[in-house]
Amino acid sequence: MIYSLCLLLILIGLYGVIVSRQTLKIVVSLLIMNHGVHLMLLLVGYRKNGSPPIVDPGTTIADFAAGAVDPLPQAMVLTSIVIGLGVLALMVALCVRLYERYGTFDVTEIRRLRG
Amino acid sequence: MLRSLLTNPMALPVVFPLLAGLVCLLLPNAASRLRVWLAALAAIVVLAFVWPLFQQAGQTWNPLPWLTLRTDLLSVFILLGVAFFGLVVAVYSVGYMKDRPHQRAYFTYLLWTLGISCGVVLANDLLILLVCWGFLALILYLMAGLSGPGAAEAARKSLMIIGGSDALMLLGILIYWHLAGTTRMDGAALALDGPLAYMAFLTLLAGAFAKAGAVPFHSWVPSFGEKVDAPVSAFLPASLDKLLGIYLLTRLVLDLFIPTPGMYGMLMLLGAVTVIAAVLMALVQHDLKRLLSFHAVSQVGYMILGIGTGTAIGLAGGLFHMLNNTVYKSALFLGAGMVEKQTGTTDLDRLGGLAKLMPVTFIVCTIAALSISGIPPLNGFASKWMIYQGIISSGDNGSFAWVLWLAVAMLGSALTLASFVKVLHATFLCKPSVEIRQMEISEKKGSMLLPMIVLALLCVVFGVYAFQVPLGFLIFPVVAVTVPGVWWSGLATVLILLAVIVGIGLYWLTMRGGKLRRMRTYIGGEQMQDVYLSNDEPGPLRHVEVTGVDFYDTIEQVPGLHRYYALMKDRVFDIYEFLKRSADYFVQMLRALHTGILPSYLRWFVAGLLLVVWVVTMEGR
Repeated sequence: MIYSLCLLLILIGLYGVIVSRQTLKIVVSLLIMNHGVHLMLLLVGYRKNGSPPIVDPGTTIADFAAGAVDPLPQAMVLTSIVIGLGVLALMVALCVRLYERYGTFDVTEIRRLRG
Repeated sequence: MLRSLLTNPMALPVVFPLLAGLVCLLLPNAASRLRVWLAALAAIVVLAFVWPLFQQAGQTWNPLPWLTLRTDLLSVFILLGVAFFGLVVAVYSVGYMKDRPHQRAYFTYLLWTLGISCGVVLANDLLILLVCWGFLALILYLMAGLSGPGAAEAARKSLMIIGGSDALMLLGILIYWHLAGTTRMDGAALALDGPLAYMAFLTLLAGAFAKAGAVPFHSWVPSFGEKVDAPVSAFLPASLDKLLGIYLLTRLVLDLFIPTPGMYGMLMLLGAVTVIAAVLMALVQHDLKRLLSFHAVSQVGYMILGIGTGTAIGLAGGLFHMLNNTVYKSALFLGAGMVEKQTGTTDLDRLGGLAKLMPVTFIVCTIAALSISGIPPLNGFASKWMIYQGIISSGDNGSFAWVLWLAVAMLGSALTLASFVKVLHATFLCKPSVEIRQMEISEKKGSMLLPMIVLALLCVVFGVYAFQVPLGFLIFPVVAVTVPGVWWSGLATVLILLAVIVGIGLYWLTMRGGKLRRMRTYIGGEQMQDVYLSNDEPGPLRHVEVTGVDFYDTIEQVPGLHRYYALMKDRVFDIYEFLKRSADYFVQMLRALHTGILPSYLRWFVAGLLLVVWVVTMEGR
């Protein structure tokens, strides 16, 4: 059931990307989508009442596998957040360049692809 | 393998011209005369390589599993024709290409075309045939492009139509493969017993029609002939493409498929339409080369009519007509090239009076023109007569369609004569135009005259000794025919000569003693317009110039034909224009979708993604 929250976040982001005309709003919508995906990945690895995935000197591998939540999605999401930051910086930079080039943030006024 | 490519007698006619073409390409520009003579020599050598193949048909060579070459009686006949016309054009080009640009490319393409055409004829596999066919289309495009910027559009049109038909042929070959299990051509013939077989037959037929220039794939020939240099027109649309197109058509109906009577009927219908539609257009042309090209289309109609009869005599007549057509049509194109080389124009309105200045060209063109019009005892008559016999005997099964086909074929022949009367008059006989009178014209170019004279002699020999020479050596080995009625050309020849003598006699009798009235000039019942009066001789009674095209312009206004010509002017029947228009339509539709607003593109993406997801989930269920 909790997964539908992720889907909701992704759909909200998608709606924002499709509908909004301002480049910065599109960037924010993409961020929302991004976080929806992250949340879903984390939830995949979640285990109810699980212990944090930290191997203390005393625990055996069998105990760890039986009790801890899955650390792999967490590591991946952590990486993805960092990459997302880089992508965000790139997108914002592109928005600034578009503004310098066309003098607007409105994507409907940038129509170089028109057939 | 490599050594056998250079020593095997079947590979040599293909490999040798390709190598010779390469040598032509690599020779420096300083050695241009050497290159020219090398090309002519190479064409002779190719003929020498082909000759032993011709004498011993029925060889096969199978060096690799996918590469099989085979000769049978039909292919050696076509092969000999290809080599012969290659030689004729190569020799003619020695004189024609002198002082012209692009010699290096021209002779290279000439030799390559020769070699690849031999490959088409020798191939025993439809796929190899198609590959060679495609290369021919490419070289045709490149060779047409050499004639200057005016030919670019014509070259593109030819490439589009022939290349498009190549794609159709590929489809047909794949279907044939699916049905017959092989693409080899010496297997059993396929019966037309289902929609797939029909589709294979029709798509391969489209390839043959586009190559030979028959309706509805004809429209590249007139554009090509008008804009491109005369020897190229004589080489490709007038001779080689006819030989190869009709070769494929014959293979289709004889070896690859067993056509149904309905298919034969369709062939005859298309043949009849080709004859009449093209000859009507030829009547009203003002350009010599364009007019000849329309006849190049019209004559294909006779070949298809002959082959479409499905009778042995018709098939033999069709093949014989193909041979004859290449002979006289090449002669006419080479004559037109001579006229163009000497006067700088092929516009019939601006030519005239060349009979005295270029007597050899005049005689050659007259023989070829009489031949194409089917005047006995020349070769055009002999083959048309066989086609008529074929059409008549196609009525043996009880249907009466043959009456219509015969009428159309004869009418087409009469109209051909009419348009050639115009050509001969406007080019050679009428009073020379002012421009012509100011030119220094002499036709002393042996290398250009020799091929024309040889072709004109062939016109006569193939007509007078039709049964002994061309039919006996070339055609009857291919198609076993028992000729229903042997026609004896002696009586008709005597009658025609008699008519000519009587005509001359009447002329002398009536014109003697100067009993002349001077009237305003009439032609075809119409008073001459002042446009055609030339201004070079001042005085009250100005010198009247009859260009010979004026009368034919009124044909366009004949009530029934008026609409046809109007439609032709709009290029309604031009498949190239049709395709161009439909392509434009789709482009407009796509342009309307391209708004340039990025979010709308994104909406299309998302919609497509949802569609994919939906399809995938439905698939899983």
